[in-house]
Formats: sequence, C-alpha cells, structure tokens
Amino acid sequence: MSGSPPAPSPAKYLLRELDVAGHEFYRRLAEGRPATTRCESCARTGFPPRLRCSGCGGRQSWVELPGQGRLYAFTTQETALRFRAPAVLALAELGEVVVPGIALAAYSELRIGQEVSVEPRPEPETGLTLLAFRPAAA
Amino acid sequence: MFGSDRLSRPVVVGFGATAIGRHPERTPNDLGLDALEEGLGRAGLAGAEVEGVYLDPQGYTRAQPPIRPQRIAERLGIATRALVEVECGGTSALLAFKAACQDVALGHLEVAAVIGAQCERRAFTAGMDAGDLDRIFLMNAMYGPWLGPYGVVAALPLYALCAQRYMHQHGASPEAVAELPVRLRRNAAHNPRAELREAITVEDVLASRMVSPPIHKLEAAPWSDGGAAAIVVSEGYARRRGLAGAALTGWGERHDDANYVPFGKELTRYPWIGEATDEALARAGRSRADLDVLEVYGAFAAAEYMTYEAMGLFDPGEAPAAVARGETAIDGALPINPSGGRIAMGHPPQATPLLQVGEIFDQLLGTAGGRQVAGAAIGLVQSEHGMMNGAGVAILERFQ
Repeated sequence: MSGSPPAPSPAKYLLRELDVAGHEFYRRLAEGRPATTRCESCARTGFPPRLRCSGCGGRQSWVELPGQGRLYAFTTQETALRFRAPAVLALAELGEVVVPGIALAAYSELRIGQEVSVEPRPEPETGLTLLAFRPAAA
Repeated sequence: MFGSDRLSRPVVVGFGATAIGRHPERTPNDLGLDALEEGLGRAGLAGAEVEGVYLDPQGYTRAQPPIRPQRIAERLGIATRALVEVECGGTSALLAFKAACQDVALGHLEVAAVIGAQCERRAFTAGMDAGDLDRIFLMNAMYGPWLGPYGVVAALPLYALCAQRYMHQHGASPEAVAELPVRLRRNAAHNPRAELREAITVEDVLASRMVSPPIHKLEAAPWSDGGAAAIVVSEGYARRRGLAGAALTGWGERHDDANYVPFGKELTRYPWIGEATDEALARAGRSRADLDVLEVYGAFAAAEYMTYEAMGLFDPGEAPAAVARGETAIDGALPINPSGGRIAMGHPPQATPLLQVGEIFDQLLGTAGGRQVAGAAIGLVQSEHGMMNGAGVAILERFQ
C-alpha cells in the first residue's frame, strides 16, 4: 500500500445508522425547525421519529416540536468524543415527547423541571445540527 | 436434530473463570481457554468431548477477525457439531448460553462449551492508532442516531440520567445509593476471583470521584478483564457420567423497543425485566418465594436497585431500605449477588453473564466457600443490555 489512508471520519458509522426519518429529522433541525412524527391515524406524537406508527402502523406526518419545555434529567460525561464535562448532556420534555440535547448552563445551576427554550446548534465534527436547551432567565 | 418428540434438559456440570481485574499481557482467547480448561477439569471431561463451542464477541473496543469460533476449535484441536457466536450487548454471553442449552435440549449434541472473555482495559490507556480510533467511532454508533451525535461512548452518562430520576422520584439519598457498593464489597471479600474485595464505607463511596453525576466512581462497576466458561450437557449425559450440576428449568426474555434511553418512558421503571422474570419462573413452575439465591446484573448502584424493583422483588423505591436492612445479604431472606455483583466482583461485560451462571452453579453445588448461601437449591440469573433495554432470565436448580 502506498501512502497512509486518511484518518477515519467521526461521523461515518453514525450517519449509516440514520434511516429516512432520521435524515429528515436532522435536515429539519439544520433548517432551525426541530420536528418529530405524529401518527395520522391514532394521533400519537413520538420521539424518535418513525416512518410508520409503532402503535397502529398508521402513516406519519411531521410536526414541529414546541420551542419551550422543561428539563427532565441531566448529567456530564467524563469520557466522550464530544461534549465532555463540563458540557451538560440533558433530556428535555417538549410537549408530548422527551428529547436529548445539550443544556447551555453549568451542571450546578440546573434543576429538574426547569423551563428551557430550544436552540438548534450546528456541530462541526459530524456536520449535524443538534438540540440545545437554554434555561429561562431566573 | 428435529423430529424427536422429547427434549433433553440442559445441565451445567462445569464452570471455570479467571481472576477478574487486569490482564494486560493476555488476550481474550487466552482468558477464555484458561476458564474452559478449569471448567472441563471440574466436570472431569476432556477437551475432545466438547461437541460445540458457543461464544460471544471478545469485547467492544478491539476489532475481531471473523469466524472466531473456528479458531477457538483449532486451538482446542477439536472437530465439532456446532460453532456459534451471539451478540446482543451485555446479554451476549447469556444468549450464547441459551443457544447452547437449545442445541442440547433439541438433542443436536450432548456436550457444549460456552465461553465469554474480554480483555481490553488497556485500549483506553495505551496509545491508539487510526484503526483503534475507528473502533471508538464504531462504538459511538452503538448509542444510535439520537444519542451518538452527542459524543456518547459509554453507558455511564445515560445511567446517570436514570439514577438522577430515581433519586428525584423516590427521594433516595446519596447515602442510600452508596450503601449498595458497601454491601456488595462484603460479599466480594469471600470471592477469591473478585476484583474489589476490600471493605469500604458509605463515606468512602461518597468521597470517590463524581464520574457522571449523580454517579460516584465506587457506585460504578469497573470495566474489567476476565474470562469465564460453562460446560452444558444433556441430563442423560450427566446421569451416565454421574455428574452433579445446575439444571436449566426456566428461561424468560424480553426486549423493549428503545436503544439506551427509552425517550418518553419512565426512566425508573423497566417492566420488561419483570415480564422476563415472570416468564422464567412460570416455565420453571416456581415463584419468587422459591428462590434461594439470585445473581442480578447491576452495573451501577441505582440501576441495580431499579432492577431489583423491576423484577418484582421489592416495590418501587423500596430496594434501598431492603438492602440496608440486610435482606439481600448472604444470610438475608433473599440473597442477591453473593459474588459481589458487577460493582465488586468486577465487570468484563462479555464474560459477566457466565460469571453469574457460575456463581449460581457454585451456590447450588455448595462450593461457594465463605459466601455460600446455606442450602441453596434454586437460583436465578438475570442479565441485561443497553440501559436495561432487554433482559434474559434463567432459573437454575440443583441437579444430582
């Protein structure tokens, strides 16, 4: 073999894990419109987004996620490829669904149930736009 | 293999394991085959009598060339009727055990060797080449398209989220969570294979580093090296050879639809683990009250409490008080994890379920030494994968 192969891309396996609904989720997020799917038959809104309703098998349509919600749980990662401590990994309740994201505050300043607003943020290593949650001013 | 109108009951007649901890100069194959040699020796069987080899992968961070079962058979110098490798995260080795039991039950073969080993603690500390880095990216993708992009490469921070919810919902104090590792160390003190045998206090646990809040380092199982092997034979074979052991009398298995975080569900309730437990007990014709000793997964303290509760052993939020009262101690009413569990015995995930099977095997045979549960005749093994996303439960009963 001549020359060294290029360094592996951090995103190559992650992107292979995305189905059509996953690509659409991140496409909408990159446009600043976080969304998930809602069943046209049983009216269930769920996360993660799906092509078919896992409850009744019905067709799904896309619905925008609320721009505000509440912090459900949060922690920091000592070992991680990105968003290592002091970054805060969080779950937030946005209307009917719970979604992952990064909380834009120090761990010690956060509490469960706190109101947050949603801010899509581009992440350069993967090229994906991700969710971030900004706590409402106290 | 098919067409028989009778099933053979599978019986574990041998078990071996390495010390759990660090084995930086060895490989998973070395550790697995050392364990197998001990297991065969305890059963009084020769390697040539093994008719099938059942494996799980050798770890998470090291690439593995394909067709590993055949290379194990080559090292052993045996021709076989079955070569199997099974993968489903933390349950892998238990599902390899299930595969072996199924082949024995169906009469396809009479002597199966199940091997699980992991030896990769070094991978996180030694310098990584481009291939190792690629493997870390592969492991990141295990957390799926919703959590992976946030850089997750360990289950720890996800278990921190459910631990926080558990403490919030039930008002469990840091001291109540820290009590579990203290108790498990007392059991591990009697387990010569265990990695963490020194006594600790609640204060020690709470003074240890906060690795992913609210989880302290001493509330997390160590990422260990180790190998384990179980020899499974048919009941008929065991009788012909006069072998005692642990018969598989019940199996239950359930997997939820979520990978790691079950978005939108309670992070403190894992009903599928209870359903798997119910199924295994029903198949065995037993109830929870019949159980003499249990080996439950528990890679993190709060998660271990949640697993006890999900299995229907205690009401939601009640596990910490029950543990503090000594109910789960070796001399308690419901002994759980006499081995020291994952948190004190140590946790090489690809070997862990076989270490659990082996602990129950020793308990049923009365060979568990200082951690022996008096008169143990009926035991249970529960293993899980992901963030408690799925569970296998086996009921094992003394056979002689």
